[in-house]
Parts: sequence; C-alpha cells; structure tokens
Amino acid sequence: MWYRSRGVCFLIITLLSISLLTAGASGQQKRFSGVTLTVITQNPPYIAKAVQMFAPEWEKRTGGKINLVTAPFGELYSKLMSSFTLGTAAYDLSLFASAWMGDFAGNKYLLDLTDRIKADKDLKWEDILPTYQQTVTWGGRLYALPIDGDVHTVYYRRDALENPKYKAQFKAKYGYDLRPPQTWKEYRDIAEFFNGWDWVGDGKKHYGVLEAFKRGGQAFWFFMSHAAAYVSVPGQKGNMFFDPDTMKPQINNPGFVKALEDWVALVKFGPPGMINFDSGDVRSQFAAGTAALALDWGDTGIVGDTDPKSVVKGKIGTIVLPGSLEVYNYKTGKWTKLTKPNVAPYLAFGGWVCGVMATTKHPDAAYDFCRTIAEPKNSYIAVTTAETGLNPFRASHFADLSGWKKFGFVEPDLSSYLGAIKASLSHPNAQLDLKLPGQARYLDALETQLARAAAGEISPKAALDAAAAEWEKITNELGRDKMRRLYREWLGLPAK
Amino acid sequence: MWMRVFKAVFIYAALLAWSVFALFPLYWMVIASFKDPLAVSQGPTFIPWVDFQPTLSAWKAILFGIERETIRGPLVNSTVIGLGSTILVVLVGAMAAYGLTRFQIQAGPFRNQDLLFWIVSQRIMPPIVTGLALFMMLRVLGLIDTRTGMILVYTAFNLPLAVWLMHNFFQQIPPDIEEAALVDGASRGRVLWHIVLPVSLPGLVATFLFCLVFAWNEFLLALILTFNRARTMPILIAAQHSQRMIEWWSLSAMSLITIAPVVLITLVLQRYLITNVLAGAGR
Amino acid sequence: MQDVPSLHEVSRDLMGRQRSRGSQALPFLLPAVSILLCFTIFPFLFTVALTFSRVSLVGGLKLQFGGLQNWIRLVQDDRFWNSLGNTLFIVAVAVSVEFILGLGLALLINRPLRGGAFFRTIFILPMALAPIAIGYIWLMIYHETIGPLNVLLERIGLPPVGWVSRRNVAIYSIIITDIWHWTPFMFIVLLAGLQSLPAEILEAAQIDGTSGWQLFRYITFPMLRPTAIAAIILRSLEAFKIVDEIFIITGGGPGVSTESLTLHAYYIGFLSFDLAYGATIAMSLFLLVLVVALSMVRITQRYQRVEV
Repeated sequence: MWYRSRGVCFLIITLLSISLLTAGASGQQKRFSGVTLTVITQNPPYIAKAVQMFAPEWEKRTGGKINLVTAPFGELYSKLMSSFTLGTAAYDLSLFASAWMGDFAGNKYLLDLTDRIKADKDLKWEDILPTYQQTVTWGGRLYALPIDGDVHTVYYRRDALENPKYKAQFKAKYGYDLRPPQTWKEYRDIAEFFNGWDWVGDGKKHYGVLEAFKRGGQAFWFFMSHAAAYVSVPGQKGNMFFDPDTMKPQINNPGFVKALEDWVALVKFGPPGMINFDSGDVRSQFAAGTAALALDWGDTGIVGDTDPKSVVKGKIGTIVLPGSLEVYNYKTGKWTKLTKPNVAPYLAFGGWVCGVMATTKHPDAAYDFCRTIAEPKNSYIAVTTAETGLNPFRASHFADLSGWKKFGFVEPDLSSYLGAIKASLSHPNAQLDLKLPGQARYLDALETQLARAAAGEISPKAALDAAAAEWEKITNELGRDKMRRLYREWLGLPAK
Repeated sequence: MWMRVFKAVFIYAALLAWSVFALFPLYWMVIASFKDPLAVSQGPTFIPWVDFQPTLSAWKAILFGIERETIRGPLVNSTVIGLGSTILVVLVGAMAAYGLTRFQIQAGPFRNQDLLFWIVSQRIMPPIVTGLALFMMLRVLGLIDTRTGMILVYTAFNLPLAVWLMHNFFQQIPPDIEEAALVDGASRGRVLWHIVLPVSLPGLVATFLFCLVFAWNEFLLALILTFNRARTMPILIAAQHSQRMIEWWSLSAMSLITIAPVVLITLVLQRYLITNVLAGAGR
Repeated sequence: MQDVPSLHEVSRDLMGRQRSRGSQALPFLLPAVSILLCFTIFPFLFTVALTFSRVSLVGGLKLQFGGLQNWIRLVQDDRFWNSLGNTLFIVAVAVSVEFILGLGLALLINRPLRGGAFFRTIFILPMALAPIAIGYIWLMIYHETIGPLNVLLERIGLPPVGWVSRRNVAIYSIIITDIWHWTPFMFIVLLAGLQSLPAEILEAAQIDGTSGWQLFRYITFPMLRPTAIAAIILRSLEAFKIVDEIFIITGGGPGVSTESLTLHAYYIGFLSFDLAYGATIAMSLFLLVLVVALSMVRITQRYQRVEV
C-alpha cells in the first residue's frame, strides 16, 4: 500500500515540480506581460535617467511596459498629492523625495513593502546604510526602497585654494591662512576673495560661490545646511526644526537668523542671477568653472569630474560642511563659544526613494521595477553613471572603486569625494532632514520667506519670524499633539 | 511737401519699429531651435551662418528621434481635445444663440438679454476659481485626466465666447429666409441646420477658429486636471524646466510646433477679425 | 480675446425674433445652460463652500465646516496683500501702456498705406500664441548671461540688468511681456472701431481745416470712446487672471515680488495642498474681477447716456 501511495506522491511531486518549473520558466519570460506601469518622477535628466536606464532591460525581462511621466521638481509633490487624493491610480509607482514620506506613508497612500523587502534576499537590504533604511521607515514599517543617498557637502577648486600666490594674498587680506573652509566664516571670506576677477587666467570673470537660492529649487535644504552648524548642540535632540516639548518652531531662533544672514550675504559673491539658481545650475556652473566654491549634493562632484564638457576635472576637493565657532542652544537660549568648530553635516533631502502606490493594480510588477533600480548591481551602475542624480547609499558603493574610476573620476578627487560623503554620513552630529506630514507645506512656507530675504524684500529676522508664524498655523491646523507625537517618534524621543 | 515726406517717414519708421519689436522674440525662438548646446551656452548669437552654424539636431530629435515619443501623446491630446471641444462648443453655442435670437424668452423676470448676459458674463470667471472645484468634481465623475473631461471643461470655458459671436452673426441674418421653410412645416432644428448655419458659415468658421485657439493654448486648467493620459502640449512645454540648464533648442522646437497651427489660423482669421467680429464690438 | 457684450449690443432690437413662445426655445438653450451649470456654476458654488471649509486629506478627502477661518487668514496674510498689489499693478500699468500703444498703432495704420495689411498681420500675431511659449521666448530673451538683451545693452555701453533676478525689475519684465502679448488686442479692437467711424464727419472736419491733433481730440476720440472703454474693460478683466507667463518667467520670484493672485492661489492650493485656503484666494480674485466688471459697466453706462 505504502509504496503505491509513495508512487502517487512521487508522481504528484514530479508533476508539481515540472509545472512549477515551467511556470517559473515562462514566468521568468513573461511574468508581467501586458502590464503597463506608469511611473512619475522629476524631469530628465536627473532621477528620470534611472528609469530610462533600466526600463528597456526590465521590459525585455518581464514583458511589462514602462510609461514615464515627468514633472519639474517644484510640481512633483503637487502632482503626486493630487493624484493620491483621486483615489484611483493615475500612477503605479514613483521615484520621489524621501522627505515626503510623512505625507505619503502617514496617509497610507503608499503600499507597505515590508514583507516584500524582507523576503527579497537578493536585494541585500543590510548593505543599505542605516541612515537610508531609516528614511523609508514610517511607524516601523517600510514604505519604499532607497535608491539614492543624499548629503550636502562643499566643493572647492583646488587650483584656486592651493595656489601659493592666492594664499599669500588671502593671508594679507584676512589675516589667516587660506585653506578649505572649516567654518562658515572662512567659507564667506573665500567666496568674497575669489569673487569677480579672473583667478583662472582664461580672460573671463570668475566668481566666489555657487548655491541654489531659487524657491521651489531646493533653497530650503541649502539654507538648512548653513543653519545646522549654528544650532546643533552635539548630543541634544530637537535643535533643528521644532522644540520637541512644545512643537514651537525653532527656525526663527538666533542661530537660524545668523545662518540666514550668512546665506543672504552670499548672493553677491556668486554669478549674476544666482538668486534664480536651482541645484542643477550649481552643478553645470561649477563644471563650467564659474566659481571657487559650491555647496551641493553629490552631483556637483560627479558632473565636475566626469562630464566631458567639464573644465574642472581633477581640480575638485570635497569636504564635509563647514562648522561654526559658536553654537546656539535653544534650551538655554544662549550662544556657546567654542575653540573647535561645531560641525553638523546635514543629510539634506534624505535621498530619492522608489515607492509603490497603494492604489496600483500591479503591485508585484511595480515593486519589481523599484527593486531593479535599488538592487546592489544596478544601483552601483546608477550611482556611477552620469546624470542619474543618484548618489551612493550602500556600503558596497563605497567599497568598490573600479566603477567610479571607469565613470571618469580621477584621484585625488575621488578619495576626497567619497571620503567627505562617508565622513558626513558617519558623523556623530549629522542632522536628519525633516520628515513629517505636511513637510511640503512647512518647506514651502519657509522657502517663500527665504526667497524674500534673499531678494532683499525683508530682513532675515523678519523673514524667519514670518515663516515661524506660518509654521505655527500649519502645526495648529494639522493638530499639535499629533504632530508632536510624530516628531518625537521621528527623533527617537519617548512620547510625552 | 517736406512736412508730408517727414510724416510718411515717421509713420513707416514707427510701424517698422513695432514690427521689429513684435517679430524679434519669434525670430529668436526660431533661430534658437537651430542652435546646438554650445552655440547657446557661449552667449547670444544672432544670425545663422554668420555668428553660429545652424543645426537640425533639435528638429531631427523631435520629428524622427527620441523626442518623438515624448511629443506624440500630448500633440494627439491637444488635437483631439482642441477639435472635440471646439466642434461641441460651436454646435451648442449656435443652438443657444439661435434660441436667443429667434424666440422671445420669458422665464420669470429673465428675458433674452438677461440670459445672454448671464451666459456671456461667465467668461469673466477666473479659471483658478473653478479649477480647484473641477479637480474634485472630475475626480468623482471619473473624468479626471481624460480627454472627455477636458473636452467638456473647455466647452464650458469657450461657450460664452461662442454664444456671443454666434449671436452677433445670427442677428445679421434676415429672418425672411427662414419663414418660407417654417411655413412649409420644417422644424426649427431643421431650419437651423439646413438654412441658418450654411448662411452663417463665415461666422461659424471664425467662431470655430477663435475657440480652437483658446482651447489649444489653455494651460492652467490642463495643469490642474491632467496627469498622464490627457496631458496637452502647453503642459509638456511647461514641464521642460529641468535641473540641467534648460535645453533651449528642443524647447524652442517644441514651442514652434505648438505655435505653428495658431499662426496659420491667425493669418486666415485676421480678415474676419476686422470685418466680421470686432467691427461692432464697441458700438 | 474677450467677450463681455456691451450692453446696448445686447438690448438691440429683437427684429429677427418671431413671437414664438419661449418654451420652444428650451431645446435650443438647454445644452448650453446645462453645460454652464455643470462646469462653471456648480464648481463656482463648490468653491464658495470650500472657502468656508476645513479640508482634511488623511484617509481620502474630507470636508468640514470651518467658518470664517480662511477669510480671516486671508485678511491677515501679507503674502495675499502682496499678490493682490502685484496683480493690480500689472493690470494698471500693462493695460494703460497697451491702450496707448494700441491706439497709436491703430491711428498710424488707419489710412491708405502701402503695406498696411502686411503690418497689420504682423501686429496681431503675438496675440494668438500660447502664453506658455511666450513665457519661454521671453525667458530666453531676459536670460542674464546668454540672453540677447543684456549683450545688446553691454554693446551700447550700458550695465547689464537683472531682468528676472532683481526684485523691482522683474515685475516690469512681466509687464513688458504682457505688453508684447496683448497690445495687438488693443490695436485690433481700436482699429476696428476707427474703421467703423462715419467717414462723412471726419471728412467734413478735415475740410473745415481742423488740425490733426484737434481732429483727434475733439472728433475722433470722442467717437471712439465707447470702443476704447470696451477694449479697456475686456483687456483688464483678462489681465487680472495673468498666470501662465509669470509661471514660466519668474515663478512668482524673486521672493514673491511677481506673484499674481492666480499663481498664489495655485501654489497654496496645489503645492502646499491647502485646498480650502487656495480656494479662498481664488475667490478673492473672483470678487475683485466682479467689482471691477460692475464698476466698469456702470462707467460705460454713464458714458452711454452722455453719448446718446
């Protein structure tokens, strides 16, 4: 008897495995045939390029089709939010800013990917730096895949800052040695020193510094990068955005006002029209050799060293954001003088992530496309390819230098570049970017006032007071207690 | 004598000056579409072959190359939405205008001119006012991001204009020509379709082209109400702001494709503009 | 092109109208009226309701009664007053310049002139172009380093101008663009008005030996006045809605120095996703346009009485 049943079992198992195998095989071929995924992200080239890069291969492999829709960065959030409120799937997945996670995951607009990610061994989740694992986590669940690492660093022209003649002139003028800026004061002086004359020797006028001041063009993060050093008391939480006890905005405290004064003063040390620059302008202008200093995400280093049109290849030094010799403590309401600069690298923006809409009809296909961009091999290709706008976010991205060199990076630029990014990410006083529901509203309210201050419409103090008042209104509207709970959760503070 | 020569010179100089002002920006866009990235980024150049070498690369990319796919959807959408809404608005507008010119209406205190004023005054409504609500309304109707939805919205948007223009035309048509048909027992609908519309064809064409231009150029409502499937050309062009330096060459080529039909229409329309449409406007 | 009818036009005789009963008109009017009710009046009323609401996006869209809070916020919002001021400034300056230039061009061309049709065609061309494309054209022209304008200035020895980057300059750049775009409208309407003036009166005056200026001042202009007023009303009502070109050229910046009411409402409604407050700003624009329209209609009526 038993052998017969064993035979039947065997038969069944054989049949099953055959059917599974064939299903697997045909599934491998045409797993998503007939499926069209609509992807929305920002305009090419940056970020959209990643979709364009991997779409053909994915389409061939799975039989699906990718339909890419793009919007300028300034309108991407609006397009996503309005599509979410539709309740139907205008888009299936999106490559978006992790800063919006609070709105998207908090309102359950995104599909919970936790189980899929946990089950996906080839994704090598543990290889992703903890900071970026954190950016896609909301309430202990995972709502997206990190595809990008983001931190602000400062770039400088080695041929300018290491030129002995300029060093001597600088010392004569300012009374201290010219070096890659360690403080925002030095940063300012260097910008001033190199502004408005031909320090390259090509017969053209060159400028001091490049930053993005444009509203809707990432100005928020540029300003915050300046502010972080002035307000981030090491080891103390809740320095940057709100007082975690009261949810009162911090952004108009003296530390932030000082930072805004610094930042506004830089407008005159940049090329004409800098007030309308976004981060894309910073990159292209730095690569064109316009200025001695630039503040940006990792892309300026990439464009500068790898773009064939770049005139600054091999001349770029990268450093962690400068610090400050005084720091404002919001708890005591006092400035503390320091002998060593207080450095606070700002993980501005927190990276682009790939999320799947809760309303999509094709969650498996959408996840599969996201993981195609996020998995180790492809993501390494993406972060070492021009104009993807994607920067390293996995430990393995820093370990293997071959791709970076093939990409066009040269030494010593490369070591300096990867070193500064790594040092920023692992810095004990590194500050995370704001992640709360309504983040876009807070950001727009502040950016509007920043733009007014940069344009000289109102004083930095008045601008920040106005922004803080606006933040209070938003907090009240969204519910102070709820926001405080979420904010404390985000900071890792006990509930109150 | 000298006075007259002087006057003639002055007149032509003034007209020429304004022509330059009117045409230079267009000229600039046309030559920008023939520039390559280097010619753009190295500062302004003014005359092809003299200070820059024109290239067809932007046009090639749009007409035959990679941009073709990008532009095709929005171009089809613009055409379908533009023509669809315009045909609809001319029909509906003609019916309404006919009703207003041929019947004496008394709905409570409202008479013909009240109703006409009510319809036409809708035109002052800023699109942003209805746009927010239309967004939520089309969402409920399942018409958001669809051509049908945009056709209906643009029909409502252009209806005041269409009714007003058609009303003017129908007023100029003597009613006697209709009377014979009515006496023969033809219905009002048949009279409108077979007698009035053919007679007022020039006006119909003018109205059609006017409304088409508005629907074709409209931006704000399309920005709010479309996401992917129904995006129109103005939305595509507006989305060309990118974080790299704006690609003036391809942007210019795209814009010129959008502008071209309208320029043609203007050339056709300009006679009507003066003789038929506006002559009575102010009186 | 705009289309509020001048009132006397509307009240013209009902010559072509038979004494049919009004109910017969219903099938003709029904489609138009229902489309307007659905896609203009209903959304309008919805927006009115929105201004008194509190909108919650958590877990789908929910509306709650919010009382006057949006309107109170509006009155206290200096960014609103700023965008209102910008809008009024743009309308006032642009429309007056457009009127003067349009009138000048119409007077110049309203005579037997070789090439008149040619010039006329060129003059009206900008009017029909997509505002978005116009925005980009001028953005290229205003560009501070690779645009033609600053280079030309430099060649004649003038300092470069921050066309779109300087606070008090950018709004004029917007106005110049608007003038380029819409002077053709003034031109064409005024030209049509000039051409429909009774030739006999003008000829009689010329025979009397009236000088050019006097002819214009005492005869042509008074006769043209109704057309002129209509043109100004129509253009102003449209100008209040300005948004497309600003959206492209400055995005409302630098700061908020070129933000118009429509743009402000759009930003609040769809960028900050504050639908209720965005609707309130939009509604304030509607009220503004309404007040302007009504007062202008009243002015026209007064002139009517003088005229007739």
